[in-house]
Amino acid sequence: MELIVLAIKDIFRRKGKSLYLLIAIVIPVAILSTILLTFDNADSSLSTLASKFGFTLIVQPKNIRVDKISQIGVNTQEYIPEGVIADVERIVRETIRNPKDKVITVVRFYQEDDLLIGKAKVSSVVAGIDFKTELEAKPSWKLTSGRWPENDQEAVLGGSYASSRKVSLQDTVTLGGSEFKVAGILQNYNSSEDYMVFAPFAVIQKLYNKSGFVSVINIQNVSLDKDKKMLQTAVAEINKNIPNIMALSPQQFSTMKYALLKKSLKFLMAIVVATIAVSIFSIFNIVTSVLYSRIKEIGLLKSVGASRSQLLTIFLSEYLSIGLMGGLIGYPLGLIMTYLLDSLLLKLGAGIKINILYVLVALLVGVFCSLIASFYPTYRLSKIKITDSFRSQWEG
Amino acid sequence: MSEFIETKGLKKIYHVGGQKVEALKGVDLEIAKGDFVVFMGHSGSGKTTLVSTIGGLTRPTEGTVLIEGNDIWKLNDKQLSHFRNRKIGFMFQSFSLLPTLNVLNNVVMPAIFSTNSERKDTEALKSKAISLLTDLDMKRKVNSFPSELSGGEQRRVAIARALINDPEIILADEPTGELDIRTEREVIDIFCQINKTYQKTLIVVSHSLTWLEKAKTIIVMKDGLIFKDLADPVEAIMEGVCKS
Ligand SMILES: Nc1ncnc2c1ncn2[C@@H]1O[C@H](COP(=O)(O)OP(=O)(O)O)[C@@H](O)[C@H]1O
Ligand SMILES: [Mg+2]
Repeated sequence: MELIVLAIKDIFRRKGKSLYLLIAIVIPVAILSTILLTFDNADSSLSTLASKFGFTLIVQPKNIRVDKISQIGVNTQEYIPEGVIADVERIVRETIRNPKDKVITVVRFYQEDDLLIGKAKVSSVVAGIDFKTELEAKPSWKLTSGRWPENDQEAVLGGSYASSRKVSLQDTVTLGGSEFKVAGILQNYNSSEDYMVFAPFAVIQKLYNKSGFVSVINIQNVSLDKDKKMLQTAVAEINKNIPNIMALSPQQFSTMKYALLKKSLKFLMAIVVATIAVSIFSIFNIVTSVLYSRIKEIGLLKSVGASRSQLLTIFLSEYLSIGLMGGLIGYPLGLIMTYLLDSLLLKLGAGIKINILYVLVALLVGVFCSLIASFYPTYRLSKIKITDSFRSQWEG
Repeated sequence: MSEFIETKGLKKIYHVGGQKVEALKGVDLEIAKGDFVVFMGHSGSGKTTLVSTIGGLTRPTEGTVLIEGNDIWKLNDKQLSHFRNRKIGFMFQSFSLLPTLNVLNNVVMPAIFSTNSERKDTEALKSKAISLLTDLDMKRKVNSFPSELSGGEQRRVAIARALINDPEIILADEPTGELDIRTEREVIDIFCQINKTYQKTLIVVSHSLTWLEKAKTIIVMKDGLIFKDLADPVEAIMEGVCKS
C-alpha cells in the first residue's frame, strides 16, 4: 500500500464533495477549452476559406461590414459601377509591369430574392456569372450532374441547394418572374456557393434593373500570387485611386474577420479568469471544510509517523488527481460546447478535432485550480499539532 | 547511565484565548525499560499532555524528554515522525482507525510512512499483521471495515497496529475509556501479555481502577505535577486523587 492509495480511497469515500470539487474544476476548463477551440476553428476555417477562394485580389463595395457577410466578396446590398473594372485592371497591369502575364477578371452580380420552385417560395442568393471566364479562373469547378448552361434561360444550382430543396435537372425555377431550366448541379465545396443559384451574368443584371453594376470584381494573377509585396502595392494603389470601393486580398479578408473575433478575445478571457477565480475560491472553501472534518484523521496519521511532507503528498495527490480528472472531463465538454456553439451560432464549420496542446492546457488549468486552492489549507493543516487535532474532535 | 525514558523540568503552557493554562509545571520523571506505568489523576491534571510530550506529539514549553538519552524535541519534523513511527505505538481513546481501510490495512498503515526498507516487503508485513491479529483473536475480521467492528474489536485492531513496527514503547491514553468492564478486562490482559511476552514498555493513562491491579508502577498527577509515586494502589485510592 502506498500513500497514493490512501489518497484515492479518500476521493471515493467523500464522493459528494469530490464531485463538487470536480465540477468546480470542470467549468472553467470547459469554458477555456471552448474559447480556444472556437478561435482555432475560426482561424482554420478562415484560412481555408481564403485559400479555397482561388483569387488573388478582390474589389468589393466600400461600406459592407465584414462581420455581416459569411464569405468574402459575397454581398447583396451594395454595388460597384462597371466602369471601375477597367480602372482596376489598369492598376493591376501597371503594378505587375509584365504584358505577357495573364490577368483574369471575373465579375459577379449577387441578388437576394425569393425563388419559385413549383409553387414554393424559397429565399435564395442568386449569382449572375459569366460561366466561361469563371471556369477559366477556376478549372476545378465541377458539376456532379448535367452540363454548363448553353443559353440565357438556363441555371446551375449549388449542390446543397439542390439537395435540400429537392430540385433535379430539367426542373424549372422562377427568378424575378423569369423561368430558368436547371442545366447542372455543382459539387459541394463547403462554401456559401453550395447554397447559391447561378445564372448568366447579363440576364440576371438586367432582371434586377442593375445594368452597369456589379457586386464584386475578382482578379486572378500569378505574379501577384507569388509576390506578396507586389500584391500589397496593387491593393493599396486601387484603394488610393478608386473611390467607394475596397480592394483586399483574401488573406487580408481573413485577418480582418479574425480581428473582430480577436477584439472579443479580451472579454472572453476576462470571463475565463473570473470563472477560474470563482473556481479557486470554491475549491478553497470545500477543501478547507473537508480538511477540518479530517483533523482527527490527520492527527492519527501524524501519530503513527506521517511526516508533514508525507501528509502533503497524500492530500495534494488527492487534489492533483481531482484536478487532472477535471481537465480530462472539461476538455471533451469544451469540444461539445464548441460544436454546439458552432452549429447553432457561429457556423464556422467546426469539426471535432483533438488538439494535444489544448488537452495539455486543460489538464494544466485543472491541476492549477485544484492545487492553488488546496495548497494553503493543506499546508496549514499538515502543521496542526497532533494533540490539538484530537481535542478539536472531542470538543465537537 | 540515564534511564530509558527521562523527563527534566517539563513544562507546558497552553494559550487559550489570551489566557495561559499551565498544564505541566515542571515534571521530572524516569521510566525504566520494560516498565508498565499507569498514570492516574483528575481530569485536567495534565496526564494527556505529559504522555504526549513523551511520545513526541506535543512540544513542551520548557524542559527535555530523553529517550535512551536522546532529546526527542531537538529532532526535526522528519526525524520526529520517524521516531513516532519506529519507537512508539500509540493508542487513543476513541478515533484510532481509518474508516477507508479494512482491518488488515489499518494495521499495516504505519508501515507506509516508515522510510525503512522493511516497508517494501509488503508480504512479510502482511503476514506479521495477520499473526498479530491472530494473537488478538481477530483473524476472522482481517477484511472487515472499522464500522463493522465492536468497540472491543476496534481496540484490538488499534493494539495490533501499535505493535506492527515493533516499537519499544506503547503509549495508550485511556485506551479502555468507552468500554464495558468485561471488554476492558480483555484489553488489559492483552496489555499485560504485551508487557510480558514482548518486553515492551507500557505507558497507560486511565481513570479506571482495573488497571491498577496489573500496573508495575502507578503515577498520580495533580495540577500539572506528579503527586506521588504510590507503590500501593490502595493508598492511591485512599489519597482520593483517583477518580473512581
Ligand atoms: N491543546 C490544548 N489547548 C489548550 N489547553 C489544553 C490543551 N490540552 C490540554 N489543555 C489544558 O491543559 C490542562 C491539562 O489537560 P490534559 O493534559 O488533557 O489533562 P488530563 O489528560 O489529565 O485530563 C487542562 O486544563 C486542559 O484544559
Ligand atoms: Mg486526558
